[in-house]
Amino acid sequence: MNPFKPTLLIAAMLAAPTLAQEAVVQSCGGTFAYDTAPTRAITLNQQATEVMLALGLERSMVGTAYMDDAILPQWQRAYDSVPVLSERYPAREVVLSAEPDFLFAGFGSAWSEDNLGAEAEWHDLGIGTYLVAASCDATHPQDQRLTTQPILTDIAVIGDIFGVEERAATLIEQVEARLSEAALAQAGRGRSAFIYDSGDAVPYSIGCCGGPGLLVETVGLTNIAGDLEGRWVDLAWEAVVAADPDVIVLIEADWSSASEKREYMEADPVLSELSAVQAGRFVTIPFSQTVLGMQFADGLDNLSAQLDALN
Amino acid sequence: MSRRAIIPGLVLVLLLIAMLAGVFFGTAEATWANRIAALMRAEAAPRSLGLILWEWRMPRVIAVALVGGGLALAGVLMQTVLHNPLADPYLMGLSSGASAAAVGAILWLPPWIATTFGIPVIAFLGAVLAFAMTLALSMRRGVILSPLVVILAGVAISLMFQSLTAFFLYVGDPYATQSALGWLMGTAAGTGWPDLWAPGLAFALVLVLSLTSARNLDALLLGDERAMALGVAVGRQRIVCFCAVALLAGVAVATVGIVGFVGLIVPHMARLLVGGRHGGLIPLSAILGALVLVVVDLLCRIVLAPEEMPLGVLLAIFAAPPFIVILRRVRVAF
Repeated sequence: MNPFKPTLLIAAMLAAPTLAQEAVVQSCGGTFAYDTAPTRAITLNQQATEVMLALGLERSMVGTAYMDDAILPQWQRAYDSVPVLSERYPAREVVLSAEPDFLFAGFGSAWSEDNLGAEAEWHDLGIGTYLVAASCDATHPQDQRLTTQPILTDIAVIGDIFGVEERAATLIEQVEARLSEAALAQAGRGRSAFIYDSGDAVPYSIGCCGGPGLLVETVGLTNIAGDLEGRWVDLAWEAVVAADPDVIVLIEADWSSASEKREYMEADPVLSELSAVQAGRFVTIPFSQTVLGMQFADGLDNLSAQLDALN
Repeated sequence: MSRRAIIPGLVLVLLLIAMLAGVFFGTAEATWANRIAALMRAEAAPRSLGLILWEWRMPRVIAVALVGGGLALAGVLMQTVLHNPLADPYLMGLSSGASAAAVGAILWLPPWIATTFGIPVIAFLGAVLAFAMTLALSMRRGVILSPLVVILAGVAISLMFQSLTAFFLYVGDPYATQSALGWLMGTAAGTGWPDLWAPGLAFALVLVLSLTSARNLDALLLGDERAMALGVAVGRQRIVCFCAVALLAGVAVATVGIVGFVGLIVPHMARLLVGGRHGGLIPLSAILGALVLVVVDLLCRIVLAPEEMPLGVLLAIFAAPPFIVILRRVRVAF
């Protein structure tokens, strides 16, 4: 009944000593074999960068790109030692001129035509690629509920590719322990939550299968839009009023601050009457803690602590 | 003669029914007894439902009715003064100017500008700027060149602002583009009572103005020379109409974002029903435009409930097929 069991198996397998660095890894856009560990990796998106830094692989990196917010203090030094290629996705030429041998992306948009292009095109150039497991629509369709498993899968795969299986196994153990601890505490049990990502006239919220949905459900809250298909949904405000949620979860991001969302709800003649708004039952979670990556466990702890404080 | 009186009356009744439906139906479910109680502001009604009906749905329904009516009216004016059945209220670059300004403000300008002025005001200013540029391009020594020049100038200005919008979307934060895109496709969600005076005033003003100049507009249909022979100051009439259209379309864009098709198709529908004389065409177009947008807005709220769709998505689906039918008959009717 332990949802994390399959990982223990993977971790055990990875912990076995490997003689030569040989890895065959399935990414979203194809399979790629590594004869030697990459030494010139580029990461795209914050969660990919953080997996690498958490595994202490900054010496094998030649560039990072696309942060959503600031890097955590424990990785600051390591992060500063790697050049930042661009604020968002770098142009293909910029990527290629850094002479990478491995590209690691956090969101599928990295491989779209107007950004870096398909993974297979990079494979043709002899450059390996990997996409964070939770972001792969093929293996994690948008209408299927996520689990925290992909977080551990990514660590295992990157550990395998870079030949640091033992470090990966240790990290998996640590992350797994934190995830199950927060899941056991069930700080939000019995309460319903409206997740407010952005937008005002029509709020952008989270359906059945998005990272923030998994976050609130893991601590025991019920997402009022949890029955809707898709990761992100344009929820109608009337549905929020009808559900009258116990808690409002505001996602804090550079492009949509929690305070402006709270102000919008407090200023609206109808929303201001919601019991959660009147009682000030708001909790705030930074966007980077809702992404299935190294900060997800922080997100669980953060959310649990804020829920406990509401009581 | 009887047909000209019956049809607008009938459409007006349909509009009132649609508006009532727009208030009664929505995303939130409720029993009929509660809905009626909430509408009557009875004590027994659940407080949240009363607020939803009075603070959200009612201003919203009135806003889309005003915008739909205004856009259809603007469409009639544009098609008449430009002698072109394909003219619509946005022809002079209004929607592109408004989009570029709004998207730029959402994605690019410092946030304090958007919060100080509000996106609607910025969008309106963008529309007015694009309109002024088009007008300047199509005039020489204070006289408007031919309608064709106006159309071409409008196309050029539209394309320029469209590429500016594309640039803003491209350089903007991909997460933030969601709200910009929602704005581009039009939505009446979030409209409150204080947002109604601008579209209401603009609509009333232009309606009175165009009804009083209905005979001049009729004369314009005969061609510029004959209109002049009939004593119409063609150049001045054109500029007045352009300004009226800019006001209506600019306010419409500021209230609900970009709503296409209504201004193009509804005038043709009305012409098929009552003919091209403006005395009958103007009121019917306005009522019909309001009806179309109220119905489409209601559908946007209930088709995917509890998710909400932008107006632009459904309008295109419902409006394109009748448009093709109308185009086939337009040679006869226009």
